[in-house]
Amino acid sequence: MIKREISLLPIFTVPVILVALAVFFRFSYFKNPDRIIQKRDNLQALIEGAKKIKKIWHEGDLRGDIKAGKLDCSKELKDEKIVDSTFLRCNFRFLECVLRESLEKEIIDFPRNISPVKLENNRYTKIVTRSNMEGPKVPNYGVLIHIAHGNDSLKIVFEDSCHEAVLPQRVYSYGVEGNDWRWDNLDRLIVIDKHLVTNNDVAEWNPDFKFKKLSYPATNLKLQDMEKFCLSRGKQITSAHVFDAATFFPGNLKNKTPQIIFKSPYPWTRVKMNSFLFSAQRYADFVFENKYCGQVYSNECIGKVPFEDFQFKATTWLGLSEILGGSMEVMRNSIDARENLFASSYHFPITSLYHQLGKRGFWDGLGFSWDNFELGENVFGEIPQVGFRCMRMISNAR
Amino acid sequence: MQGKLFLVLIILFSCRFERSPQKEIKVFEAELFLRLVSTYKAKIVNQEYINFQNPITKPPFTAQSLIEFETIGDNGNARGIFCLVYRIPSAKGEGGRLKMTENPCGEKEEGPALRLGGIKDLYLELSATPKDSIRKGEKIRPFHLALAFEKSKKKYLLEIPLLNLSREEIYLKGSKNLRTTSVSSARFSNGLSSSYAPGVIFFPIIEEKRISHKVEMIGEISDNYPNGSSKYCHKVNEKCQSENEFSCERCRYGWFEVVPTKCPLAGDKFCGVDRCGEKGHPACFRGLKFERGLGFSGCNPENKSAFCQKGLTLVCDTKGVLICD
Repeated sequence: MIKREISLLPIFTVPVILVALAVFFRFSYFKNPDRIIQKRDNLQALIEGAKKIKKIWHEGDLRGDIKAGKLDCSKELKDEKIVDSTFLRCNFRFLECVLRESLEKEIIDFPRNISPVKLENNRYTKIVTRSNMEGPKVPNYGVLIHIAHGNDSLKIVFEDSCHEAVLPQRVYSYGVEGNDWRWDNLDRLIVIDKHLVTNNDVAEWNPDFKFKKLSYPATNLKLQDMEKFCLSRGKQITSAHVFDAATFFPGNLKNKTPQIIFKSPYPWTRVKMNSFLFSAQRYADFVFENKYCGQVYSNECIGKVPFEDFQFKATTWLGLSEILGGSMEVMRNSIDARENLFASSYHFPITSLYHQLGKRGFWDGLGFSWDNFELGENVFGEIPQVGFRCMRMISNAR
Repeated sequence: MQGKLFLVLIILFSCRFERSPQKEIKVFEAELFLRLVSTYKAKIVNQEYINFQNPITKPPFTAQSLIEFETIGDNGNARGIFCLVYRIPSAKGEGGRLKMTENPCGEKEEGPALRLGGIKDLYLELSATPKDSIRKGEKIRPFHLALAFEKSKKKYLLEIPLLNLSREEIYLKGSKNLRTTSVSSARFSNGLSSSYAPGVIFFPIIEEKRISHKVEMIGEISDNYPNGSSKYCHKVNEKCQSENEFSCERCRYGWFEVVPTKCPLAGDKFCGVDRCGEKGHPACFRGLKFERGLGFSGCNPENKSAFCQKGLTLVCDTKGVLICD
């Protein structure tokens, strides 16, 4: 009898080897460690690059590269002559221009070896808000970019770190000089826009929005649309008492709970009698001069002094601009619903009593005829111009 | 032949591309970096092990969860939750191992874990402010996870930047205590939280298939308080503790805080438009200085720290919120 040893081993050899190889790949024995290290290094370089781009975002065209012809942003800025560098800070159009131009020329301060990547909207920047993006760290409003280095890339969102002011925590007073209705934000953080909402802001939110100049205040929105715009950025229209707090020159800032709150009606001085406005509103022999338009853009200024010379200057103690003069400004009033319009504007002459802090009228928010307004003085101009600014809260405790 | 085959298999299994300790640590650091760099929340599991004066040595040969990290993916949404676990070496200094698992601390491990063995004398540091390190002569870099340890008789320091982490998001896991904001209230403050790069959020693109928990936003533009459609995003109880985790950063269209009636530090918060002071809406808060004698003992229409528009009065609604009517 011939015994044949039938070895079963060869039958199992191949599957065993295959299983072993599968285990190897599963536990990444053949994973390329150099690729992991390279990826980390690339990401580190991208992070450093992002910090440099952030500086450009925050500073805008501080060096005047557009004026010097080193940057051509006519495509993004629509040939608009920019008279104040403030407008280009934290401005998505300027950032779009820089990213686009960086592909063709060397830009000072732009990180080397980093290249911008076009997004799905065929641009290098995209506005993100909590209404169009989901996630735990999506800001109320930010600008998304995508940059690449080697085989790796990084998306970044820049928040607006330029155009808001935090109202210091203290006791404030609402209303005109002499009115002492007090409130405080000792356990709250209120953040208020420094500038009126511009056409630039609204045009990105509503592509059908018609405007003349990007940097001008958006003045042809009805109140409901103004509210929607602020809401789209997680904000609300500024409240009247917060506006007063940010515009009346406070006393000693170190004293958060003063016994007496002295209110000068003009944002740039505590001594009202020294001001030209005090004279204008009281003395019949007051003579208007063009230089006053830098602080109060009143009716006399139209046609004599460019509006841009006033727009980003004449700030309050907290850095808010476009207060006295310019366009009117609507606000929410939680104390008196019939006082929702800060009327100081170029619709009134320099002698008008509306050119003082705390003095308000009323707008029904529904239209732009003078019938929609309640104002106690004669007005100039056919079409009322009403701007707005937004504010938001930050939770003091979470 | 059979013996040779088994020998080959054994060699293949044991041959982990034996790397030098330096290379092994470099790869571990890079992998740790890729996992944690987009961290936006760090929950400390064992507070006594963080920024501790001495290396972690007790209890020996036990696995201790240290920190839980929540991270963000390239689409801006949550990418994954990781747990840093340390198996403390024995009294002889053997068997120490760092492990990074892909699950919340305390839950069942899922997916492949990152490991680094043979380590001892681990110091772990995480701080939102620059301060002196317990490692002499060193400084803790804010918003960096620092791991200092010894392996194969050499000392190593790994520092991983946690790019999206803000000061108020470093806290004890499970704690319900209120945390104060890191935003400065000083004049000319820019209103940004303290973080690695204030005002910048990073979404690194790391090609890995990972199932993440999606964070959904709250609220619609039409939500308003009077019709009951405004949703809570933070609830505070009488002990000044959070009843639910603060989620107002997920409100699509902003949020508002009602007049506090339970805790002086904070009131309940809702997603949606703030029309405080108007009819049917919550009252506005006049301020801490105006709260007199009611002791935050619940909703009371006599509360002087609340105000409404002219012609309206304060009432308490069914939620215990002061509203204007």
